[in-house]
Amino acid sequence: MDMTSIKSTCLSGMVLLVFAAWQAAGAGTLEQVRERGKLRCGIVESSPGFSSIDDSGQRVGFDIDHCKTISAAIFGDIRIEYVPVTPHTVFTLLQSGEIDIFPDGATWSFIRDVSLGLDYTGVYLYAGQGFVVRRDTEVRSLRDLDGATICIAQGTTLEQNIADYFSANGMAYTPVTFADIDKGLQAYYADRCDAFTNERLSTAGRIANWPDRDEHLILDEVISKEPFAALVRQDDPRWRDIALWSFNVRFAAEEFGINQDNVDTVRENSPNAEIQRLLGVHGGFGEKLGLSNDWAYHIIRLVGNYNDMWERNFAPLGVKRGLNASWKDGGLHSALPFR
Amino acid sequence: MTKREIAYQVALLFIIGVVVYLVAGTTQGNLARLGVDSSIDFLWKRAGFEIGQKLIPFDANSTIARAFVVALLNTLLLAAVSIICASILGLAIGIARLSDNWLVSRLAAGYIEIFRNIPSLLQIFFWYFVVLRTLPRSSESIGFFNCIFLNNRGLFIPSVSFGQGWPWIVAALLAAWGMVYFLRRQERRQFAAPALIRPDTRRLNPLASWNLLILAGIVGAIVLLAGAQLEIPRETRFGYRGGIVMMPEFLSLVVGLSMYNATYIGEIVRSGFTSIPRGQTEAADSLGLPRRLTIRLVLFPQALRVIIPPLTTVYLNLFKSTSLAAAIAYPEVVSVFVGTVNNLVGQPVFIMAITMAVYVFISLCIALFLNWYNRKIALTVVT
Amino acid sequence: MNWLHNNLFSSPLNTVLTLACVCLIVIAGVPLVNWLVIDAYWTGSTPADCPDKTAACWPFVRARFDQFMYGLYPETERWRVNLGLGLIILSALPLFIPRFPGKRRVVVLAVIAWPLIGALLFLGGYGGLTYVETGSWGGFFLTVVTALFVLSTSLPIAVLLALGRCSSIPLVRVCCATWIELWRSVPALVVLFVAIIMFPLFMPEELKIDKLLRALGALTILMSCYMAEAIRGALQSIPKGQFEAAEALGLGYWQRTFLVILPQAFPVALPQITSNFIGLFKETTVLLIIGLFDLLGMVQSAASDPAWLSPGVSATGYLFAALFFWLFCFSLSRYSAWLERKASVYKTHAGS
Repeated sequence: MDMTSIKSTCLSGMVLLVFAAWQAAGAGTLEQVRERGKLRCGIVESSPGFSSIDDSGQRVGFDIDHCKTISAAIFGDIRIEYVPVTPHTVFTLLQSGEIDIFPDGATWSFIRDVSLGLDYTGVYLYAGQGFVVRRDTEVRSLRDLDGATICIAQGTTLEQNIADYFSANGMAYTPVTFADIDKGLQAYYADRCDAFTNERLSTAGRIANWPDRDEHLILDEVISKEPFAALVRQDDPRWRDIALWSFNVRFAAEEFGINQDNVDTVRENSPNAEIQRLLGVHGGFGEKLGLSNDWAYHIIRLVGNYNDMWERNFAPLGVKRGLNASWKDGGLHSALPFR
Repeated sequence: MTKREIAYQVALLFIIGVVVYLVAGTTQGNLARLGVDSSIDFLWKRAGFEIGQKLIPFDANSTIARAFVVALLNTLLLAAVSIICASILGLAIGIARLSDNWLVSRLAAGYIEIFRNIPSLLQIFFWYFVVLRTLPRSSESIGFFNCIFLNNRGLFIPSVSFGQGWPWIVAALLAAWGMVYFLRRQERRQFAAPALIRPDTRRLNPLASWNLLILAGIVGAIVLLAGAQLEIPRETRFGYRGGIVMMPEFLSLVVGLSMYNATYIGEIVRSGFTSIPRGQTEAADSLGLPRRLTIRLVLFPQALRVIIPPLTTVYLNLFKSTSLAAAIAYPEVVSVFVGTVNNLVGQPVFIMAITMAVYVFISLCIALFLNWYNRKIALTVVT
Repeated sequence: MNWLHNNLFSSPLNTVLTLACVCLIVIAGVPLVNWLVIDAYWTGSTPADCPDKTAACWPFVRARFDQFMYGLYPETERWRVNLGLGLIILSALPLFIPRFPGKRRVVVLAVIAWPLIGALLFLGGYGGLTYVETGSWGGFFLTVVTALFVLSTSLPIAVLLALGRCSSIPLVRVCCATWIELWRSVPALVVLFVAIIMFPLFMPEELKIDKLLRALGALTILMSCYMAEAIRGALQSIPKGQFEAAEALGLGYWQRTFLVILPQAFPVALPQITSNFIGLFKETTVLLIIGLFDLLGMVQSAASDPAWLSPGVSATGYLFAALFFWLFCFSLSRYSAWLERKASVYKTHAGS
C-alpha cells in the first residue's frame, strides 16, 4: 500500500469518525427525548406483574416502573409515551428510533446481544423456570415432584429444561404438553396435572386473579437461569450509560436503606459521602451523564428502590425475592459503586 | 400424440422446472440467512424432552427419530381405536335408522342430523373441556370392581404383563389361530353350498363357538402357566399408576371422532342396505331362513359391496382428523413433530416434508387395503 | 292407535325397543332440559350473575356476543362488517332462486367481487376508513369470510385441475392427479402449518405475506383439490356424445369445454360442491390451532377468561357455538339434498 492510499484511507476514516461523532452529538437519544418532552418506552401489553392496566386505568407493573425510572432521571417527572410492541416488531422499532428503550428485553444471551445490533443495560431480574402446585398435594420443593404429572407449553426450552432436571436428579414425571401457555395453565387449573411449569414470575402474574389463588403455591426454586435486562440501541453509548446507571440507582438505594418514604430526610441528614454523591448533594455526578445532579433523587422519589418495586409489583402476586434479593441477603443483586 | 400436445408437455415441464428452481433457490438463501444448517441429521440427535404417552420405551436420552416413531404409534393407535368405535357405532345407527320401529329410526335420524352438522373439533373440545374436566379428582375416582378407575386424569384399567413367558404366549396364540383357521375350513367343507341354505344352518354357530371356547381355554391355561400377571392400577401420591392408562385427551378424541364419523358411517350403512333389492329378502324368507341369518348371510355381504367404497373416504377423513389432537395435548405426529421437534431443531422443511409423507403414505395404505378388500368380496360373490 | 301399534308395538322386540328409547330420552333429556333451561341463569351480563358454577350461564353469551360475532374488530368499525356481509349475501341470493336469469354471470361476478369487497371494506386503510389489521378479525365474521373467500378462489382453480386430470395430454394428467391426491391425503391442519411455517421460507425475504392470507391460501389449495374431484365426477357423467357433437360442430377445446361441457357438468357437481362447502365451513375451526380465532376460537378464549372460568360457562359457550354451526350446516345440507333431488329429476327427464 503506497502513501497516498494510506492517507486517503486515514482521511476517509477521519471523515467517518467526525460524521459519527456529529451524528451522535446531533441526534443523541437524550437530546431527542428532551426535545420531544417525552420518553418513548416500548411495552408488552397485558403481562400481569410486568405490565398491565389497573382498575383506575393506569398502567402499572415492573416494566412500567423501568420506564418511569428513566423518565424520572431525565425529566425529574413522569413524562412517558407507552408504545405497545410485539416480539416481532421491537427490534425494528428500536433500530429506527421509534422507541427509546425496551425494558422487557427478556433473557440476556450471547446471540441476542451480539447479533441484533442492540445493547443490554445490566441485569435487573433473575427469572427462571419454576413450578406452581396445589397446596393440598403437599409438594413444598422440587424434590417432592417425583412421579408427578406436569402441564407444560411447547416451545422455547421449557421442555428440555424439565427433562434435564428430572433425569439429572433421577426423578420421573409425565408431561402433558400443550401448544400454548394459557391452555397448559388452564389444564393445570382443571386438575389435569399436579404442577404447571413456566417462567416463574409470569406464572405468578397469570394466576394472580384466580379466585382460589391461595390454594396454589409457587415453588421458590427454579430449574433454569434467565437474567432479564432492558434493551437500547447499540450506537449511543451515552444513552446506554444513562439507562444502566439509572437502573443501578435502585439497587444502590436499597443497599443504603433509602426508599421512597425516607429519601428526603436521608438527603438532608446523611453524613455518608457516597449517599451524598448519589443524591446529588456533592460530586456533580448527574452532569457527567448529561442530566441534572438530583437525577437519582428523583428516581428514588418517584419510583423507589428495588425493594419498593418488588413490593409494589411482585409481592402481591405472592412471589418471594429468592435470587433477586440483595447480595447482603444472599441474593444476586449488588449495586455498582457510586464513586 | 399431436405436435401441439408435445409442445404443451414441454412447456409444462419447463414451467415446473423454473418454479422448482426459483423456490429451491429462495429457500436455500433464506435458510442460509437464518443460519439453519439444513440436514436430516437432526433425527439422530438426543431428543431431550419427554412424551406423555409412549407405546415403546422412550426417554429424554432417546433419539428424535425414536420420538417420531412414538408419535406415529400414538397417531395410529388413536386412528385404529376411533375407526373401530366409529364403525360399531355407525353400524348400530345405520341399522337403527332402518328399523321399522318409528321411535328407534327417528332417534337414529336425529342423532345423525345433530352430530353431523357440528364441527368435529367442537365436539372434541366439548368432551375434553366440559365432560372430562368435570370428572371427579383422583382421590374421589369412580371405581368399577376396584380395578377400573375413572377420574379427571383418565381411565385406568388393569393390564396383563407376561414377564419372561411372552414367547410362549405368542406361540400359543399362533397355534390357536392356526387351529381356528383349520377348523373353519373343515367346517366350510362340511357345510358346502347346498347345506348352507338348509333351515338347520343354526348348528353352524354353536359348533364354531364350542371350538373357540376350547381354544380360549387352552390359551388361557398357557398364559397362566407362563406366569402372566394382572397389574391393577394402584393409588399413589400423584394419582393412579400401573395398568393401562388412557389419558383424557385420548378418550375425548376417540369419543369425539367416533361420534362424528359414525353419522357418516350410519348413512352409508343405511344406503348400503336400502340398495339391496327387496327380492333378496323375500327369497331368503321363502327359504325359511331366520331373520338374523338373513341379515348375516344374505343382506350384509351384498350391502358390504356398496358400503366399502364410501367407507374408505370416511376412514381416510377420520385418519386425517387425528391431527386435531394437536389442539388438545395428545402427543401425536403433528403435536410432537411439528410442535416440539420443530421448536427444538428449527428444520421446518424436513419436518413438514416428513409429516406430509407420513400422512400420504398411511392414507395410501388405508385406501389400498380397502380397495383390495372390496375387490376380494366382489370376487367371491361373483364366482 | 293403529299407528302406535304398527310403528311402536308391532312385536315384543319392538315394544322393548320402544320402551328402551323412551327410557333413554327421559334419562338424557330431563337433566339436559333442567340444566339448559330450568337451572340456567338467563338475566344479567356479568360473572356475578352465574353464582352456581355448573349451571348453564347465558349471561356469558350475552356479555361476549359481540366478540363471538366480530372477534376483536373495533367496535366503531363494525358497520363495515355488517355492510360487507350484507352485500355478499345480497349478491348470492339470486343463486338460490331457481330460474333466475343470467346465473352464470352472477357467479363470475361474485367470484371477482367478493374478495374485492373483503379487501376494500374489511381491511380499509384508505379514504376515511381506518385500517383494521387482520389480526383483530375473528369470531363468526372470520368463519364466514374464510368460507366464502376459499369457496370463490378455489372453484376456478378446481375447474382447471379437473380439466387437467381429464386431459388427453399424459403429463398434464399425471401432474394434476398427483397434485390433487397429494393434498387430499394430508390433513387440513398440516397444510395450514405448511403455510405458516414453511411458506415464508419459499418467498424472498422482503415479501411478507399476512398470516390470514397465508392460511386462506392454504385452505384454497386444499379445497380446490376436493372441488376438482367433485367436478371431475360430473365431467365423467357427461355422455361422450356431447364431446363428439361439439367437436363435429368445429368448436375448439376451450369453446367445447366452457360452452358445452361445463354448463352441463356444473349442475351435476353442485350437490357435491355444496357438501364440500359444508365441510369447509366446519373445517374453518382448525384455524384456531394456528392462532386465528374463528367463532369456536373466540368462544374458547372467552371461556378461559379467569373471571368467567367455570364448567357451566364453557359448556354454554360450546353449546352456543354448536348451535350456530349446526344451523348453518343443517340448512345448507337441506339445500344440498334438495339440489340432489332436483338433479336426479332432471337426469330422469333427460334420460327419457
